[in-house]
Amino acid sequence: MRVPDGTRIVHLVVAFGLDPAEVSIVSRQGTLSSLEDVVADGDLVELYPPIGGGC
Amino acid sequence: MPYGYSGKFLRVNLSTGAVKVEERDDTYYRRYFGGWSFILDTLLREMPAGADPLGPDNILVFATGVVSGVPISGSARNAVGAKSPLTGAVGLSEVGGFWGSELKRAGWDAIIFEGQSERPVYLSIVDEVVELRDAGALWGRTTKETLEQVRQEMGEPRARVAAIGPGAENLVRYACIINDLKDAAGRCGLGAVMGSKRVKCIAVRGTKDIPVADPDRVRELARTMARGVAAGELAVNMHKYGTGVDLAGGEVSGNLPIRNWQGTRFPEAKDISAETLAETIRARMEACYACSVRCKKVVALEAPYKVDPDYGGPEYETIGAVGSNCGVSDLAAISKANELCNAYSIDTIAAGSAVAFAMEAFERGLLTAEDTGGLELRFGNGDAMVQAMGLIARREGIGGLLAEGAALAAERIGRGAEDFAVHVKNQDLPMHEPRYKRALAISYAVSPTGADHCHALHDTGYTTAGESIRRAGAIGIVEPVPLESLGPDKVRLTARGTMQNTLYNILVTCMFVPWTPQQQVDIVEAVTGWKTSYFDLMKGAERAFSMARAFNAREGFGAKDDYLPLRSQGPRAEGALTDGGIDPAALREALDNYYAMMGWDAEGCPTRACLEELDVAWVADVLELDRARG
Repeated sequence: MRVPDGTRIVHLVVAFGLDPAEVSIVSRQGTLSSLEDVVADGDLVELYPPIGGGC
Repeated sequence: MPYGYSGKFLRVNLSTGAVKVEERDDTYYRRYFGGWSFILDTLLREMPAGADPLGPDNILVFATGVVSGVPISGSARNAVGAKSPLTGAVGLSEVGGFWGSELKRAGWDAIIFEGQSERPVYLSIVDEVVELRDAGALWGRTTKETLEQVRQEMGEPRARVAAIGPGAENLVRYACIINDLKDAAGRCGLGAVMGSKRVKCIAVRGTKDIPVADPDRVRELARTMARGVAAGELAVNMHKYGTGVDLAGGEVSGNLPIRNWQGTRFPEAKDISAETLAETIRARMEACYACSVRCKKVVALEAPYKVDPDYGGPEYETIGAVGSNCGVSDLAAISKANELCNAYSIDTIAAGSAVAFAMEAFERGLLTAEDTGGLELRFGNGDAMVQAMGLIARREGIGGLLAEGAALAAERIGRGAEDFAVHVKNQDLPMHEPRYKRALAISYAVSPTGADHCHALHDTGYTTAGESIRRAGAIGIVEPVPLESLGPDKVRLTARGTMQNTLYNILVTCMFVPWTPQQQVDIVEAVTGWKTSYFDLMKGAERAFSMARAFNAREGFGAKDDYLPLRSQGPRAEGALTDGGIDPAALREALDNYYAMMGWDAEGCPTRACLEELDVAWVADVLELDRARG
């Protein structure tokens, strides 16, 4: 998707209609990132909910 | 007549062969609910302190709860307990499938095994008809051979079977008990206790309906969950994939254990996730008794390993333990190891952890090819990992050492091997990183069964004002708690969350079915006809948890036994969490806080006032009598 320069990951989350409070893990280019990070051209951003327990 | 339970326990004396029926009154059920509490009441009253876990004085209890077996999602489970041969502390394990509900439908709420049989036996239950039968021909058989032969012998093709395989017979310290080939009472070595008593299996056929107080309300609740799941509103991922989704997120955050908890990167995590499994080797999804969530994956494979779908498929814990923590990225090898562990009845977490430990020892030169009989136990060698499972179950070659568990194996190897055996009270850490989920640092240390992932609190959902915090309003947690905190806010959250999880183990129900606290109350009231509340249920959980700590105090456990392994105190090697680990002093302060909040003394043992408040003053009497005896 095309975004303006300076776009943070949290902006993408909101643009997709997701609640940032439900995002627990942010991965950018395969490394740990945060909602406040600014995206760069060609970035692969992955979002994950909290990891629970059980079996 | 009571609703939801029969009031009847079976007592089997294996030394004499006598089978007796015992009755428990309504007050007993009202106070204890089931599961852990039934087990702990039995152990604390009847088992002498210091008993040999593999000797005749240990008592093995199979317990259901007041809502077990009622046709509603999450009611399929049963608990098993005894003194653990792995930890020397209380051993408690819970398991799904169909066996627990079948036992209830046969009219029995619990089975107590005492003594030790001279010859292999099995217990056959067809409603009221209970027989201890010869199992000489079954000894040495896999769980599948046992299940098939016993069903035939009983003439009951629909009998449900809780069985042990050769691993438990050979007293692998972390041997488990397998319900109908797929579901494991996995942790604490309770299969070894069953093996030491020479009980091959308990086969049950139950044909009765369980009377409930308000059948319409029970049906309505069951339909609510079924509709929510079918509409894609509840338990969405669990229904679609089961456990083990989002492993790439687990890897990048540092939660997923990699190469014996060293924490190097593992980009192959995606390849062993439940999503990949669904697209590749998954045959189908299955359910436990009466459950709409249907979270159990089944794997079928012909090559490179033949994997029998009758043994189910790997859960997240197995994927982590024999997969990423052994550096293995091959779902076929992981599934084969899962099948073998279920056939031999050994815990996949402990077996995988023992192999991961051995791989590190091998790579460091502390174990040689001579020690391993030529087996190249290197990280990433899936075939060696699979072969190791058979060696462990048979206690053959290097398997004899690994059958003792990583903790004892490390002691025997010495030369610094203890530093990378990753356990609490000899119980290997489950597959969640305590350096990431700090509530687990507290939970692993304080758990009466050693490092546990089921009654432990996983705190990553509680760091923002999201759904978890909204739900936590039921236990008075109204503000997010930072992930890295080990302060009083985290201790409060951990203690209360742990009691919520312990509640599942007394009712005995499943945490994967997203009943709200109010619905849990509704279910108990509709089934039993009691007037109860979430406060009352939570007190029941606290009672069980404190009784478990009291059991351990009798066995000599104290504050010194609540710790985290050395590896958890340092940084991970790469990626996330490379800036340090859990500070032991900060953890100690958190644990002292935990004890005080729970009403325990400085050694983590419940005080008399705590036990009086929980309406089990007799437990304080037991502790005092023991102290007077020295």
